[in-house]
Amino acid sequence: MSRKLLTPGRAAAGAVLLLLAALGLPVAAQSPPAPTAPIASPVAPASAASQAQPAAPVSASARRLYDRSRAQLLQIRTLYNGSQASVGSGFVVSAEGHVITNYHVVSQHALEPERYRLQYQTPEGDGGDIQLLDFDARRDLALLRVVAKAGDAKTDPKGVVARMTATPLAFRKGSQPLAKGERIYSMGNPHDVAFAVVEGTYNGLVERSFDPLIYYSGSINPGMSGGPVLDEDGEIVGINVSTMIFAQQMSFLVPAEHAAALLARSRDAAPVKGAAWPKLREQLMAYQDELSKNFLAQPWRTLTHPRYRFPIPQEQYMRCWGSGTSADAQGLQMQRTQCRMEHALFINESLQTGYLGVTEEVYDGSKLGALRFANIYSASFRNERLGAPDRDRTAPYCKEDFVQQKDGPPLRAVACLRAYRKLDGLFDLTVLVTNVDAPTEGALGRFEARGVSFANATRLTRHYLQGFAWTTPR
Amino acid sequence: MDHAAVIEIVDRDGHCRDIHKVRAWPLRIGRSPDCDLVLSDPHLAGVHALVHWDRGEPATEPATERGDAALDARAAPAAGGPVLELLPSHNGAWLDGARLVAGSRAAWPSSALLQIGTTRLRLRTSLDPLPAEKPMSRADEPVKRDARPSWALPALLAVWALMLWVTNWATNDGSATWVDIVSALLAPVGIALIWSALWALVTQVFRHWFAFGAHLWRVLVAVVAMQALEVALPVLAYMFNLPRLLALETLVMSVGAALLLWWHATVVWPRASRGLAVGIGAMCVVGLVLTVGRRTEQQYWLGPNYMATLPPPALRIATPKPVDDFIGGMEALEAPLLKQAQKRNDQAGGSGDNDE
Repeated sequence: MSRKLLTPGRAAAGAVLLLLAALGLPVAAQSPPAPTAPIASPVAPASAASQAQPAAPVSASARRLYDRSRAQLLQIRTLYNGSQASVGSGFVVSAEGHVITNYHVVSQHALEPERYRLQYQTPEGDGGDIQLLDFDARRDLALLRVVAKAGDAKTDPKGVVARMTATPLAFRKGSQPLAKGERIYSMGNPHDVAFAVVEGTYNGLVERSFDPLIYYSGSINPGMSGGPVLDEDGEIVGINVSTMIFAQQMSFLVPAEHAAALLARSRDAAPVKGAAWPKLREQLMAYQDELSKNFLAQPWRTLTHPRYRFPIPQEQYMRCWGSGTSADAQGLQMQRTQCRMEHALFINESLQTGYLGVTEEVYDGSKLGALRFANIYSASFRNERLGAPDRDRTAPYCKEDFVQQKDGPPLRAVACLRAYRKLDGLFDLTVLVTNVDAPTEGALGRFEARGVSFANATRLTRHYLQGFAWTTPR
Repeated sequence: MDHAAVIEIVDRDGHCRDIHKVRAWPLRIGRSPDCDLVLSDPHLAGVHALVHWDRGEPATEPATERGDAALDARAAPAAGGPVLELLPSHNGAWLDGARLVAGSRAAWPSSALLQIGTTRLRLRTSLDPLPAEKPMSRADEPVKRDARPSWALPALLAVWALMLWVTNWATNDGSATWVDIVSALLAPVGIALIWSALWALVTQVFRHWFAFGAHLWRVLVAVVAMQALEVALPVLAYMFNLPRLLALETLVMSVGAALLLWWHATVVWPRASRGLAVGIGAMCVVGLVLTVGRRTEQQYWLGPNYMATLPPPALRIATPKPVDDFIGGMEALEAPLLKQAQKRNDQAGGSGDNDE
């Protein structure tokens, strides 16, 4: 049984949970990064509001839509040694047996095809082999095709495939956007229990994200990943992908247009042969290029500080949270601003990538004196974690020096890179920067970029270092 | 009285514990006060044995239990010499481990160790060649009480206490109570005292000398030197922008610890200082090899990933570089990273969420 609570203890509040059900896989391993503490507070009031709302009874539409689309609904099972290693959902979108699901539902098979096999299962319990044609790691989508041919007496004796492909689900046209508050219906097989239809509301796109997802108010659960979300007309508006943990009915869908694009692009593609690392690498390379270009084009915002100008990113697709010691705190005083992209790309259970983050910490040690401040501030600078070598990435290699721009304060800069082992040419970048001109004032910056090329890593480092300046030119 | 002779009473280590001059032959050995050599050993008869000086007359047949050839040969000394005759007793004796029963006679050459009861005796006569006088080793010379002035130890202890206090003061932000401060000061001092006391005990066992001061001095010198280096190295690295200087820290710590061990050990076993140096040096090298072996995937074999110590800005001597130079320097990381990425590592990673 792959029962699992939606509230794993390890995950931070506000973390997003991908809706893949798998026994033994820690849930938090599938949740992309999120700022640890700060997000909890804005989420808290929402829970009271949702508790006050009684659950709406399933309307007649839900029943009608489920009846109409159940033939196209599939459970996508990843088998390891004949037993299911993880399960998700999917749906038939073409008469040739094309099926859409999430990339994270089939990632085990995609990356280790010799160990993991893919199968589908219909709500009636019929099943068969299904193969991977293409995926879009950036949008977390995968295109599969049923192996058996409809109407072929040998491969499809019971006519299962023929029934599935008789009326494939259609995508809602981009020219007819949904309005906030419209009812939409999510389908899938949560926790391998049974197929379910969940009624919820379309709430537009998630704001401040680089690749916006649809914000859906409905309870979707692990195992429903890759299932379709239909409008009243039974047309696909999105694909179940993730949910906010420690939140009520906050779920996210991949907009249907990306699935339609994937189908159009790879309708006639040959099945993926061997491990999909090269394809994944290609997609991540293109993505990091776009993201880096976009980020480098943005000017820095300024954090108000009497002495220094710190680089703080625009909040176009990042969220910034502030925190600090209380004003009457003894000893060292600290203020922190932490900005981060909250959406990350899923690679496998242990690796998520494709996001940027900036943290600025301002320390005031005037109550401590120079010697004590130097000591305590050094400890804080030393405390930065860079990661240890693991299966996916190397140990960090760092370059460090004193740097200074013409019109900026002298800085100590440390740029550390970790190379990806299986995604040749991608790196994680961490840049640590501190001022080295004030005896009792500390400005500690940390820039983070996951999954960028070496060239972009150097560009981003330069961009970040150039963001430090004097508040008033000297 | 033909020949001068002494009987040495030997302890279990083979050292002579007591010496008895033979004044007249034959010599009576036993528990009785009438004996010439009185041994207070409950396992002896009143008169347990006689030692004669044999002039080379034919000896009587020895009555050994085993009657082995070696004893037969000794029983008939050609040139004469001391002969042991056992008188009636329960326990008899052992000559060089060979059993002699009561009533037997055997020649007692000076090389042979006689055990009667639990007492071990060795005979030395004027016929035996006297070994040459051995030169003295330095370790056997009297310990120099005035190796350092009497104020040196307390002064060094005071210096160390001051260093501890300053370090402790500099690393807390003013929220520590006096209890924290005092215990942070006393704990290392206590450990140093206990450490020295343990070494002194070991010295007591081997050299019958409770060398507490000598060991404490060694600990203090090593600790103060290492602590000073621990402060000086990062500051120097910062001043001149030499982050690789920090690799010395690990080296200094392990070599320093090895040196300290060796220094302690030379007090206990002064004769074996070279052997100790080789042993402890080998241990230190093995330790370092293990440390490095664990870090083969890291950028540097020794030392931290980056220099984190940020002393007050007035100490900085190195001039900062333009940003472009720094970025240019980053390029050198690419090739080794790509090479490193080719290596396999089965360490399970985090979700990426945890390693920050």
